[in-house]
Amino acid sequence: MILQVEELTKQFGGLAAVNNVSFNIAEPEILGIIGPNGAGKSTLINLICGFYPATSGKIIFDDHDITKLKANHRAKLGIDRNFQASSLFMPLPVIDNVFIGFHLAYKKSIWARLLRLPSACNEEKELRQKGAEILDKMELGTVKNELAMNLSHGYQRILGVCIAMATNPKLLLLDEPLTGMNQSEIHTMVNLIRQIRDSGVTIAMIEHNMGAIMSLCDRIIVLDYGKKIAEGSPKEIQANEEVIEAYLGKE
Amino acid sequence: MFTNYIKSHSRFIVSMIGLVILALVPLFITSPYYLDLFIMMIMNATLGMMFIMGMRVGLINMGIIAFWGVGAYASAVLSTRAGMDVWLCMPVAALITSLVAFIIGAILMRKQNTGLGFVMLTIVIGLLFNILVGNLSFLGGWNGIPNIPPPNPINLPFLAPIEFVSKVQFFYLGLFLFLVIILISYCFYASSIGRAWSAIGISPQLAESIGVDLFKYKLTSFVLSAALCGLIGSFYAHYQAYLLPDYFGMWQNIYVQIYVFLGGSAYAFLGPVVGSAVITFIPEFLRVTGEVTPVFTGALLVLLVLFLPEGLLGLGKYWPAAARALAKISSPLKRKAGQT
Amino acid sequence: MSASLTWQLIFDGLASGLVFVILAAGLVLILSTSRILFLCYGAFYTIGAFGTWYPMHYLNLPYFPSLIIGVIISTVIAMLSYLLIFRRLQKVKGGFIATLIAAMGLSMVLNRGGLLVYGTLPRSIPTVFPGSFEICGIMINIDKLALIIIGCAITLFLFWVYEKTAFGRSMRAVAFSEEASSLRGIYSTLIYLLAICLGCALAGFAGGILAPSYGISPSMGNNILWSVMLMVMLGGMDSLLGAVLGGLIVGQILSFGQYYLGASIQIYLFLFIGVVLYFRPNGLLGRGIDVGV
Repeated sequence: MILQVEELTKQFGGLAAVNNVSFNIAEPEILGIIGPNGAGKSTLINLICGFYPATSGKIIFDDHDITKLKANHRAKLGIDRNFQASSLFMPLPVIDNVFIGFHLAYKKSIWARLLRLPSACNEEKELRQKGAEILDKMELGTVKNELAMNLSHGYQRILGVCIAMATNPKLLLLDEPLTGMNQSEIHTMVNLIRQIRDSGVTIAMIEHNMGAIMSLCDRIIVLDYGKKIAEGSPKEIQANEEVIEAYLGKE
Repeated sequence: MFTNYIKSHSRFIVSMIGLVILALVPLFITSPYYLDLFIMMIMNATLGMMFIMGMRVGLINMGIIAFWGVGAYASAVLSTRAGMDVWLCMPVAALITSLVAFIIGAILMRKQNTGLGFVMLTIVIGLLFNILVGNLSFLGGWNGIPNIPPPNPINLPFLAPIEFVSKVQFFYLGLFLFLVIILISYCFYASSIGRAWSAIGISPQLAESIGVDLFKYKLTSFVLSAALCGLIGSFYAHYQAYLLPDYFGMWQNIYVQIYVFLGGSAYAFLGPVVGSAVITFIPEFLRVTGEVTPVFTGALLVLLVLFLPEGLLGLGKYWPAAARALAKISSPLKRKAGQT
Repeated sequence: MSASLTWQLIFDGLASGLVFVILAAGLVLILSTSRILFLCYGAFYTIGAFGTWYPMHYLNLPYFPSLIIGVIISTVIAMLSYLLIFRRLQKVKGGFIATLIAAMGLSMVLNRGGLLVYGTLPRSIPTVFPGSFEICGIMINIDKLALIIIGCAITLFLFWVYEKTAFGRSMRAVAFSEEASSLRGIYSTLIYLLAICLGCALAGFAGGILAPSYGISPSMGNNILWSVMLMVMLGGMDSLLGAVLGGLIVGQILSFGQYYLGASIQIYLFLFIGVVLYFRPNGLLGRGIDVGV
C-alpha cells in the first residue's frame, strides 16, 4: 500500500468538496479517478499533494502520516503531480524547466554548490544530462532549447509531467493530462504514462477521456458530489449502475 | 567563431570593460566632489541589486533603506561607543543586519503573507526607520552620530600603509565591496538556491510541488539582501564619518526603486548600475535646481512606468530591429535585389 | 488618572478617530477594489485641505461650499490619475510593481508639486463651530463634537453604499475575487474608477473637515499617510468594518499616547500593530488580498 486515504474530508465554508473519502493505492498500479464535473476530483488531488489542508481524515503515504505536512515536504517524500492549467516555468527553456525540477536531487553540500566547487559543478552537469534523457524519453528531445511558452499545448502538458518526473516520485498524480490534446498527442501521452508505470512509479490520474481510462487503469474510483460512489476494475465500473446514473443524471 | 563568443558573452564583456574603466576613474578625476558622486553611484547600485534580489522571489522590500541604515548605525555605534576595530565592524554590522532581517522576515512571512501585506509593512518600516532612530538618544537622536572613525590603515608588505585619508582610498574600498557583493550574489544566483528563487518568482505553486520550501528560500533572499545592504551601510558610515537620521528617509528609499526601474528590473546587475549612473550624473549635466528635482523625478517615474516598463536596458531588444532598419535605409541597392 | 481626564481623552480620541475612519475607509475601498497600492493617497488629503482654503481665501466663499469644492478638486485629480495612468497599468502582467512605482511617482508630483504651488507657509481656516461647553468636567469642543457627528454620518453613509447599493455590491465582488471583475469588461473599469474617486473624495473631505482644527500644511498628506496605512493594516486591507475599527483604535491610542508619552507614541503604535499582525497577518477583520507579483 503506497497510499492510504482514510475518511478524508475538505469543507469550504458549508460545502464539503470532498466528503469522507477512503481508498488505497497499491504499487505500482495506475488508479483512475473519474466522476462528473465538480465531483471533487481536483480537490482530492490538491489534498493528497498538500495544497489544501484537510478538514478531517488521514493520509498515509509509504507508512508516513503526511496529513499535516506541507506540499514541498510531501514532494520530498515522493509525491508529485502535474497541474491542470499548465503550470510551467514559461519564460525558461524546456531543458531548464526540467533542470529546476531536480531541486531535491542535490547531494553535494550547499557550501560546495555556493562556492562553485568542481564537484558541485559536475553534479549540475550530470543533472542536466539526466534532464535531457527524460526529455528524450518523453519525446520532447527536439525542443530542448525552446522556451516553454512557445510549445504547443500538448507538448506543454508533457513537459509538466517531465518536471514532475524529475523529482523522482514514487507516486505521481495526474490532473487531466489528456485535456486539450489531439489524437496523436493523446496516443503519445498514453504510451508515456504506461512507460512511467513500468519504470516503477505508481500513478493516480483524473481523466474524462473514458477510452484512455479504461485502457490504462488497473483500478478506478468514482466520485460524485465529493463522495466515493464506486471502486473496482474498469469492467466493474462500466457495468456499475450508480456510476452510469451519476453521469447520465448530469446530462 | 570569435564574433559568436562576443555575442553570447556580450554582457559580461561590457561589464568587464565598465569595471576596468571604473577602476581607472580616480586616476583621471581628482575632484573630491566627482569622486563622491562615483562612490554614491556604486553604493546606490548595490542597493538596487539587493532590491532586485528580493524581487526575484516576489518580495518587494519597500523598506530596504532601513536595512542599509541598520548596518550604518550598527557600525557607527560599535566603532564609536565600543571602540571596535573598523575592519571588524563591517562584517559584524552585516551580521547584525541579517539578524534583524531574520526576525522581521520570520514575522512578516508567516502564513505566506508576502503579497500586498508584506509590501505595506515594508513601506511602514521604511517610513518609520528614521523616526525611530531620531527618537532614540542612544543612537544620537536627531543630531546623529558624529566622528565615526575611518578604517584603520592597511599594512602591506614592501609598500607604505594605505591610510584612509582621502576619497581615493574610499573609492577603491567601495569598488572592492561592490565586487564582493556582486560575486556573492552571482554565486547564489547560479546555484540551486538561485534556481529555486527563479522558480518561486515564476510559479510558486510549481516550485512548491517540486519540493521548494517557499518560506525558507524567501527568507534566505530577504536576509541575504539585507545583510549585504548592511555591509554597504557600514561602509557608508565610515565614509561619511557622521550619520544623521535624515539620510535614511523614505525619499532615499524611493530612489532605490528608481534605479532599478530605470535600468530595467530584468537585469540583476547591470540594471541598477545603469539606473544609478543615470540618476547620479544626469542632474549634474542638466543643472536642475533642488526644489524642482522631486517633481521632475516623480513625473519621470510615471512616464517611465507607462512608456518604458523594461527600463533603459530593455530598449536593447529593439537593437536588432533598429540595426535592420538602419541597414535597409543605407543600402538601396540591396533592396532592389529582391528581398522581403 | 482621573475619570474626567480619561473621558476627555476618549472624547478627543473619538473626534480624531472618526476622521481617521474616513481616511482609512477611503484607502480600504481603493485597495480592496482596485488592488492598486495607492501610495499617493496622502496627497489627496492635502489637496482637499488646500482646495477648501483657496475658495475661502480668494473667492470669499463660506466654509461648506468651499469644502465641497475641495472634495470636487480632489475627485477630479483622482479621476484623471486613474484614467491616464493606473488604468493602463492594471492590465499588464507584473503590473503590480509598475503601479507601485507609478503611485510613488504620482505621490512625488502631487506632494512636491503641491509644495511649489502652495508655498511653504502654513495656512489656517477659522473654526467653523466655535465654542465649547462642559459636561462632568469634560471640555466638549463643539467643533470636535461636530467632527464626531459628521464622521458617524459619513461612516453610516459608506456602509449603506457598500452593503445596500449595486455599486457597493460590485465593489465587494471585485474585492473578494479578481476573477469576478474580469468577467465584467468595461463595467469593471467603471467600478475601479468610482472606487478610486470615492476613496480620494473621502480623503479630500477629511482634509477639508480637519483643516479648521489641525491647520493646513503642504506636508500634511505625507505625515498622515503612514498612520492611515497602519490603521488599514490593523483593521484589514479589505474590510470596511476593519477600517472603522482600525481608525477608532488608533485614534484612541494616539489620544492617550500623545498625552502620556509624547511623540514616541508613534514607535509604540507601530510595535503594537506589528504584534497584532504577527497573530493575524491579514489584520483584525481582513481576509487577505492576493496580488500576483
